Parts: sequence; structure tokens; C-alpha cells
Amino acid sequence: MIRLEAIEKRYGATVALAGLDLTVERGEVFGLLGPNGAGKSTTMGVLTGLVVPDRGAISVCGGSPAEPAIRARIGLAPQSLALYPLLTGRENVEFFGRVSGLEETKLAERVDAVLDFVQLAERQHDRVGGYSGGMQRRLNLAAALVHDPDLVLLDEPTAGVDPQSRHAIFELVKSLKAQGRTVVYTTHYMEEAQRLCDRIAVVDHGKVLALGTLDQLVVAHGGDATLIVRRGSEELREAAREALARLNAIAAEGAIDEFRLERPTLEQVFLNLTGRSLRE
Amino acid sequence: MRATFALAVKDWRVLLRQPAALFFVVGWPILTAVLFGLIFGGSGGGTAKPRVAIVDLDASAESALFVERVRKLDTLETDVAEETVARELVRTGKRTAAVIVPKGYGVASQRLFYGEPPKVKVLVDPSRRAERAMIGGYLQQVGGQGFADRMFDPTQSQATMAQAREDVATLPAAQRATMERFFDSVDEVVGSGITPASASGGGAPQWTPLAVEVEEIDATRRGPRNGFAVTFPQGLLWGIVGTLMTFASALVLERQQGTLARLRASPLAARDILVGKAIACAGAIAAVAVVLFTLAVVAFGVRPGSWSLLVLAVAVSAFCFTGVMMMIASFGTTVESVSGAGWAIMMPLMMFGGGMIPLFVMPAWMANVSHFSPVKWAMLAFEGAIWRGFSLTEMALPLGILAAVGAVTFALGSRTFARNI
Repeated sequence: MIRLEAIEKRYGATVALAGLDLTVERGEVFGLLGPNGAGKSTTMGVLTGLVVPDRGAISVCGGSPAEPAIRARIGLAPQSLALYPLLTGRENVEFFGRVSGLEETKLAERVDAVLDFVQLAERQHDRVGGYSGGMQRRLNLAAALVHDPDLVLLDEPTAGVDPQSRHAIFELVKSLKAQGRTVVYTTHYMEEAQRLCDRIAVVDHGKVLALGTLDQLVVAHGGDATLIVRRGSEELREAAREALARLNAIAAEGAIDEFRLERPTLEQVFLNLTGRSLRE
Repeated sequence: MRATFALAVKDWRVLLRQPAALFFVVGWPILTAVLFGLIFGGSGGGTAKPRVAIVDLDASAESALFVERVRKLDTLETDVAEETVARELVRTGKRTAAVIVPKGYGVASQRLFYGEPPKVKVLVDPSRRAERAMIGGYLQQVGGQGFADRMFDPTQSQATMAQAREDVATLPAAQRATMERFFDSVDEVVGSGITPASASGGGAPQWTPLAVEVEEIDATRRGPRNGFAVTFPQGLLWGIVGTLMTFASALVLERQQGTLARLRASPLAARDILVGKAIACAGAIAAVAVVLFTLAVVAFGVRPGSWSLLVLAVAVSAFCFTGVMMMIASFGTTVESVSGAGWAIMMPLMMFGGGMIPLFVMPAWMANVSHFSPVKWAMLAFEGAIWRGFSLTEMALPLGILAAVGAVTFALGSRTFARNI
């Protein structure tokens, strides 16, 4: 569905993308995980034709995003709430349906369907300016889906929303996957990537540092699991290369109240790959 | 093209939901047009006093009395002139009409119910139908006054009746007897002291106290019909400025709020988006023009000399200022910077272009500076179509300049803006 090879993009002295490579398969939810400024939004720009790279090869939906026919197969939900607050929810979705080339005969049906999908049918005739942040995020998604795209690009879709709305968006993404759509999901929240994505690319400084399933990333870059042992008020943490042998050794030294084994997280993967935390 | 129109419709819808922006686009222009129209001498009832030149070719006591009475009418603004001067004044539009009292008026005034009634001639531009009817009515009123004097003033009446009896002396006996009986009745009425007011109510068939003849003169140039003919074009220019500033800000706001990026990610080309914006802006300007000129015509007595040229002037001005809008939108990346730059540019253009001070009262130095303002050429085009009586050839210069300014600013503005999308 997507193939990016050695993509480079500079803005003056700033390197936004420094030879970025990635491939996204049809039907998968693909996560782009990285801190702010890592190059995620620039990558989204390249995928939609908004950013023309200085170098590299792009193939999206079998063509170049510079072609209108290819862009018609892409649905973008930008990080900023790209909506018109003075229009109603329905008017917004209808408008983006029209500019995306959706035929008038299918428009009403599709608008109904996506408003229903994002659970905004009841508020469709209210002006968007009166929506909560979570509702606006969901409408942002509806506007990206109205023309029934094959590829859905979600740029930080949960930015600034409450936990309940975030959960609702997670469910929507899962439904998109169930519908067989390809989803590219950028985030700097590792728990979102862990929970939703089939494969994850860890991005920083405009490069893909690692790419794979969560397990692959953890195995390859997460380091050892951590053995945590509690004895009274004392807590012992250590890398658990030989976890069982170490546990036996510790138990031999005295009674253990509790122990557990912690699997490395994406945070650990990122830390190991970049030497800094995702939120730095 | 459907998507491009969807963009324009969306922009119009958004505009209609912003009361503050709507006020500057429509409300403020109407306010300025009406207020300054009243200050410049327009009348709220839709008509200013017609200015009429009077020519007395008869030079008799009766004609002098007629002229004096016309001049006393507070419904007309009058002055006395030579015939050639009066004709030129009408032709150049400096007077609404001229009234000529021809030779023989005094003699004809002596006759009663017989022969030709006294006659006056009104010279007027054929397009001024309303004024023609109005002036004709005023003249009849004055003529009727003269007739009443002759009938009911005992001293005048005696002479008039004697003249009348003399006039009918040659009629066949039966007709003469009828007229004599009528004259006897008149003498009896006059003698009884019945006033014209109490005697009114009957018609005088086949005979009028004054015949008003009309001679049409095509006015090649004329001044504004009233103050509103100047202030409504000025108001439209304020509306245009309000519209272009609103759309320039809206275009930048699209970039700021991310909707422009979303549009660019759609199948629309950058060119389609800018054309959609241009259609929205030009359409809004045209709508403001329709509102303002409809109001000007219906309620304020503005009568465009040429509707087709006015439509052309509005269309070309809309194109020009849509280009200016695009240029202004490219001057910044935030609504604040674009708004600041826009007003800084548009205010001097308005000031020197006739948007504040009418072009025809500008001092020479200001008139020279005004050549550099597209506002001046738009104003000239509107005035040319409304009251300057421009031909298509004369309109070519202002329209050509507006089209050129529109093309250059649109090309530069859209190029710069598209680069920064």
C-alpha cells in the first residue's frame, strides 16, 4: 500500500527527513512512533503529496500522491482540527465529501454512515464550534472517511482529548482495521501504538530507527526483562537474563514476599534506540 | 468544477454566519452611503429638487408673472438663462430641464376657452421621465393659478371676458349664443364673490389653461442626479474592501486552522482551491453590489444611466479586487499580520481613490495621486455607468486598468500563497 525509499526533506538547515524508508502492507494498522519533531507529520505530508521530498521514491496506493486520483483514495485526519467551526458537523462532512470527489447521489448516504460511525449523528446539525474536543476529534476522523478511502492517515488523533474520547477513537481505529482499511497512525504515546498497531516504526531525527511488530521491537531493542523482588519494604530490580536462576539465588538468601517479571516496553525500546525518553 | 463551487458555497455560508464580518461587508457600506448621501444633498425621499433653467422669450407682463411664479415654487430650484445657455445646461446635465416661455404667451393668456391656450416648452433628457412629469405638473399648477387670476380677479376678469366675447364673435350664431350664455354665467359667478377654491371640482373639457410641450434633449454629460449617486458607489467600495479583507483573512485562517492542508490533501489542485476562493470573493462582491444598488434605486432615487455598463463595471471591479485579496492574503501567515497589512494598504488606496472624498471635488494634487489607486478607477467606472454618461469606449480605460491590476495581483498573490500552502 505504501512504499517510501530513502526520503529526504530539508527546510533550510533543518533536516526533517533523513533517508526515511518504510513499507506498509494493505489492511494493517501501522504506527509511526516518535517524539514531537521526529518527522512523523512530515512523513504524513509526503504520503498526501503536501510535502514534496528533496530525494527518494514514493509509492502510495500504487502511484504518486501528486496525482489527484491517488489522493482521492487517501483520507487524512490532520493533527490540527481541520474543521470549520461555524458550519455544522454535517455541513463539514458534506463539504469534505464534495471536495474529495464523492458523487452527489452517494453523498447523503456516506455522510449518514460516517456520522453514525463516529457516533455524532445526534449532534450533526449543531455547529462544530460548540462540540467538545473529543467530538471534534471524531468529526475530524469522519471528514477523513467520508469518501471511503483505502488508506487512512491519522496524525496524532488523540491529541488533547479526554480518556473517554480517546477510548472511543481506539475503538474506531479497530473498526477501521476490521473493515480491512489500511491505517497509518502517528503518535507519541507508546501505549496507543502498543494497543492498536500491527507494526510500529520508531522514528527520530527523520529516520526509521526500528520497524517491526511490538514483540519484534521488544526482542530486538528492548533489552532484558526486569526481575522485581520484594522482601519486606525492600524492592530489588535487576536485569533478568537468567531469571529463574537469579530468583532461586535470591530466595536462598531469605524469604521473598513477592516477585514479578517486567517485560520491556516501547518506552524502553525508544530509550535504548535514542538514548532519551519519548516525552523529552 | 463542482468541488470548486462547493468551496465557494462553503465560504459564503461561513460569511453569512459571521455577523461582525457581514456588518463590514454590507451594513457599514449602506450606512456610509446613506449618511454621506444625506450630507451631500441627497434626499431621503428619492429625489432631489430638480434644477430648472427658465427662458422668457415673450418678455410680456404675463410671461414675467409666469416666470416669477415658477421661481417661487419651493419644489424646483430655478434660475433664468438665455435659450442657448439653457439648452447647453440641459445637454451637459447641469440642469434637469429648461422651461421656455415662447413668444405669444402673453397674448394667448388673454384668451379664454377659445383658440390656442398659452404654451410653454420643457427641454429635458428623455431618461428623466419622472422629473419631466413632475415639472409638467408644477407648470400646470402655475398655469392654473394664472387662469384663476384671470377668472376670479374682477379687474382681470373684466378684460378677459371682454376679450373672450370678442373672440367668439365670429362663431356661428348658435355656438356664439351658447358661449355668450356661459360668459354671462361666469360674470355672475365672479360678481357673486365665489372663490376659486369653492368653485373647484368641475372639469374643463378640451381646454387647458396651459399647454406644456416637451422637447427631448439627449444629455451627453451630467452631474450626479443626487448625492446618493456618488455615495452608493463609494459605499460599494467600502463593501468591496470589507469583503476582500474578510476573504483574505479567511484564506489565511484556513492555513492556520489546517483546513487548507486538508483541502490540499484532497484531489483538488492548489489552482482549484484558489479559483474557488476567487469565485467566493468575487461572488460576494457582486452580491454586495446587487444589495447596494437595489437599495440605491428603490429607496434613494439613483438611476443608473446604463445598467449594462454598471454590470460590467461591477464584474471587472470584482475581478480586480479579488486579485488584490489574493495579494493581501500572501502578505502574512497569520490573520493578524494579513489584516494589519491589508488595512494599511487599503486605507490610503481608499482615501486617494475617491472612497472617502468624491473624485470630482478632489484638489488637483490629490486627483493626480488618485491615478495610482485601483479604487479611483473602480469609482470612475461606477460613476461612468451611473451618472457620467460614459460610452463603452470611455469605460475602456478604467475597466482596462482594473482588469490589468486584477490579473497582476491575482497571479502574484496566488503564486506566493500557493508556495506557502
